[in-house]
Amino acid sequence: MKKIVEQIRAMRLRWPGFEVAEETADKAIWFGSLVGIERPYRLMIEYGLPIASSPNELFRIFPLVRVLSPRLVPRFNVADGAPLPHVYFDEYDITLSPLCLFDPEASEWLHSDLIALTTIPWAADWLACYEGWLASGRWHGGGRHGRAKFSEGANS
Amino acid sequence: MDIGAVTIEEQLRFKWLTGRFSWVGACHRCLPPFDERDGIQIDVRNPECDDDCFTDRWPENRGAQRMYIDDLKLLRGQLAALMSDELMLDEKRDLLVAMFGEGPAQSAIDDYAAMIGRAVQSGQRTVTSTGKVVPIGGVAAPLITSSASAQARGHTFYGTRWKPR
Repeated sequence: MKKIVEQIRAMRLRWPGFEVAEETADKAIWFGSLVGIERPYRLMIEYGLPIASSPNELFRIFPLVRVLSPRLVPRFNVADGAPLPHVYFDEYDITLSPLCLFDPEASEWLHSDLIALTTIPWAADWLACYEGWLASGRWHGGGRHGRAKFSEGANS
Repeated sequence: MDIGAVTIEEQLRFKWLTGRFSWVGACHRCLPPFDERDGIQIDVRNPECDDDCFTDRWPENRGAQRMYIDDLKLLRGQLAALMSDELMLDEKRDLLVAMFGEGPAQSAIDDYAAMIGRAVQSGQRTVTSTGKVVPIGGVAAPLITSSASAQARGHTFYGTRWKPR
């Protein structure tokens, strides 16, 4: 399992534009920008190490990526019915729904992984496909929808 | 037209996007400054084919020439907007629709979105230091990879199902 300081060091080296907004021994929050296809998006990355007292907090299961600006644009008239593609729907503010970047049931991300080498480029992938979805009405990035295992925890 | 401030990457991306309208790219590169050309017979040739005179029917008179120049200025502004990073892809689609009509514009955008999606799905893409996703093996790859960041490993987009209230 990577320590928070290791995650922060890797982020600083690989994505120096991301600033650490909060850092403790078991949690970190970054703000930074990524370009999908055309425009930069401002993101918030929240990640914490698993702790026994809060086992269900989603950001302690895997890094949470939210798009802050420009706000995600839900579309309620698309073919598959979901107003946003591949997110963990946030019931309070759908535009702040965390992005679903990997298949947790396939263990595609582990706490031994560096966020800088996985989560961030995957978020860039998501943004590129999202821009394509906005413009074409179709999600071309593939993926799947799983059980509701994580759906209730997005608002933690 | 001065496109010196536009990066090679942007030019290549624009070239792909307008590949369906190849004459547009040619026009964009060769358009001379028309502001001071009133009263002078305009002669603009297709750079790909010198026998093809874009202006063979223009201008018939100074009024027509003014209209023509205004159209070119509009085109120049639209092309600059297409090449900029200020518009999102859906906004560029709307601009292309205004320029070429719904069918060709949407078709080009659909193809572009599908190309990006295939690159992401297959892992045949690189992510630059700004986070821009660039397909590998496409027109931009040889130039982009030198300044790009390491490739990330494959992943599968996931997600919870939408439950309307």
